[in-house]
Amino acid sequence: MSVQTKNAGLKHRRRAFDFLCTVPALVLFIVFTYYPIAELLRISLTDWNLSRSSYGYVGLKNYEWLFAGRGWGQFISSLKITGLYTLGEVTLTLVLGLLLAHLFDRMTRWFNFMRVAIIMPRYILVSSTALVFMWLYNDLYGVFNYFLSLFGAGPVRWLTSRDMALTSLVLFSGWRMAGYAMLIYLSAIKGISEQYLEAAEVDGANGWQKLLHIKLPLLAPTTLFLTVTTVVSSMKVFQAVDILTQGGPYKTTMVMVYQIYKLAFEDHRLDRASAEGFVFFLILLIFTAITMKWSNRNVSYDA
Amino acid sequence: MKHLRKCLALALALLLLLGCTSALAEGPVLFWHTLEEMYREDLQKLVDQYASADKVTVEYQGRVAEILQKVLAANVEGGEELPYVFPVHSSEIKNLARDGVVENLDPYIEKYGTDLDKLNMKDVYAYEGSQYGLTWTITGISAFYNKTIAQEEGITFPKTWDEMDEFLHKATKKDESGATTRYALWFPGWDSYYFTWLFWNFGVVTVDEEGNSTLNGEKAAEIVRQVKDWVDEGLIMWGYGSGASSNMRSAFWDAKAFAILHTSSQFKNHYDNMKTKGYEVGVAMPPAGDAANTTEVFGMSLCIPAKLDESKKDDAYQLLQYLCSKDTDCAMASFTGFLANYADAMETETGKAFLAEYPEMANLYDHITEMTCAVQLPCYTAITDVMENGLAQIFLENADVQGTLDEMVDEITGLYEDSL
Repeated sequence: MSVQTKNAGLKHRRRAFDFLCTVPALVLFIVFTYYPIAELLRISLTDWNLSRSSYGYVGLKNYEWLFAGRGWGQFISSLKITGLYTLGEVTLTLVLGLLLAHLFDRMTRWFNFMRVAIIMPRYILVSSTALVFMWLYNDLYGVFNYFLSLFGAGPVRWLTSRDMALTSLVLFSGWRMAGYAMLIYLSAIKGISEQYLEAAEVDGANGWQKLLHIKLPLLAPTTLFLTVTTVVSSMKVFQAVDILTQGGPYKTTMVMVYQIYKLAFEDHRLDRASAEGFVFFLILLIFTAITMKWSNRNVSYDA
Repeated sequence: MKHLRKCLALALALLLLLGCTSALAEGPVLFWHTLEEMYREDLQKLVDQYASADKVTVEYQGRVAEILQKVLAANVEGGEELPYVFPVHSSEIKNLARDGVVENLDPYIEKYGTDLDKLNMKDVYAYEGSQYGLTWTITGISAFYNKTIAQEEGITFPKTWDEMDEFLHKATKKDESGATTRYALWFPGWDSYYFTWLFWNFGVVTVDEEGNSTLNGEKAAEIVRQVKDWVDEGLIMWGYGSGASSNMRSAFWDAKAFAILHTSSQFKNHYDNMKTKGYEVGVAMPPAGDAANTTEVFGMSLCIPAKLDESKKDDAYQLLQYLCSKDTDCAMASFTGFLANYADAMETETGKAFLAEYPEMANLYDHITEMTCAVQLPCYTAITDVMENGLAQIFLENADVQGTLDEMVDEITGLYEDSL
């Protein structure tokens, strides 16, 4: 056998071996990501009512209901509420996270403790913290209204007023996620060369100017990463809504995932829920693709 | 050798553990229920008196809607994880019977000679002439009031709507600044069954079998405006939203509410908690209107999943029959506050003992045949959301009364048409 043939055979075996190493991960991906998406699409083409024992294929009937029937109003409303919630949570998370990172960017014992305390909410179950917040937010017996009463302020209907419910949800989520953003920003700040900051100091820049004109631009890749991940996770919010507001009051917190859940498991309309779910998946996919394309052109990774 | 001995010892230990585990395994006849924690021990004692109690496993599986979700999910998976017996809400039974989720009980009723003659609400759990569930719990919306304060201050809970205004003004307490410190009446506006009587007692149709509603009619608007005036005046609290249920209970126990509307199943809960505060609880029907003297009644039946293995259904029915029998159900009513399922249950020894201890409950039992069950529609849950949200917007957000009622009726009609 010639050396070339031997080498070609070895190359093939190596490639096959490399591919085999990826098979377990690929299988997991197919089973837990691609297969559910394919099933979602398949069910959206049926008339599956969960309380009935059989179903049939009805083509695009569910999409007709969604885009040209009664489903449109509630779909758009949920999308809008989800968008507002996402905007609020992302803004609060990034701003708070950055400010906290800037504040705690020093290795003292006290600051170490504070960093841990701020990060902790992210790693406690949402359901547990939401239950606690349900009581903190209570109209009559809640701690927040008690503190307000000490200053002579009237009680706020945190979760029961149409004007406040979504804001209260955003505040809860922002409080949970700010620590995570702080952690990411802290490690990114550590990667900024001291030369830039020293040069700015020599030019007479104060702390605030250094943050705005040196750190912020150099933290752009981190901000982009946090924006994309927070937007995607924020748009999938469910647990906090399920425990705190159940989509109310007056459907003012009826976010997309909760709307889909209600349709599937309370109204038993798995078919319509799947159609909404698939469209929502496409929206998230398009958003992520656009963001990545934009970032390739506009975000510099030189720090 | 040492290593081999360690492995053998470990294997032996594992085998012993497996053996013990299987010896401790619970019975296969699985009964899922929704009873709150305070009632579970007594329920277990009742089941322990069943002839084949050793075969039965009693499991709390969440609220009735959650149990239904689990049963439907188990159906999709081929019926492997199905319970033998599970509760179904009165608003769901016809849909589930139509869709083949619950078993037709007629053959078993005939085989075991179950007497349905005086079973309350049995027609609610029937579909096209066949029985699909046996009545297990009945709960009627009732008024609970602070009997101690009533006696001290000479307050009488109103029997008719005409007496409401005087009652509300007398039972409300305010401080110097005019803020209400004790509401005369607390309405649970978060669930429609707490306030449907408000409309039914005046001949208003919230929704009927054909999806029609007169909620935006003259009479309904008049009632709503009257209630809104009382809410604005601080005489009535309209509960709604997150935490509203807990707030109402706490307010009642702390005497910040003279009276509340609640399900009769909460009687024991209120009785026990009020007792710790030194108060007695009175029970009454909601005030009558000019068309009727009714209140909404609903409950749960016990059913057998249709997809349960055929060989298990006989055992399932025997347990179901036991749990819904007059004596067992009456015993359960005595420790829960649900109304007993048989019309003559209160004539049994258990029933008489219950009324002797809690004479207030006679006020409800005397009117049980006048209570009304809501219509069963596939979209009824969504319709109740419309009513709850609409009225809350009127009472709490000052939305225009007629405009909102018109929107509610449009929404109800749309939901009905969409469900066809």
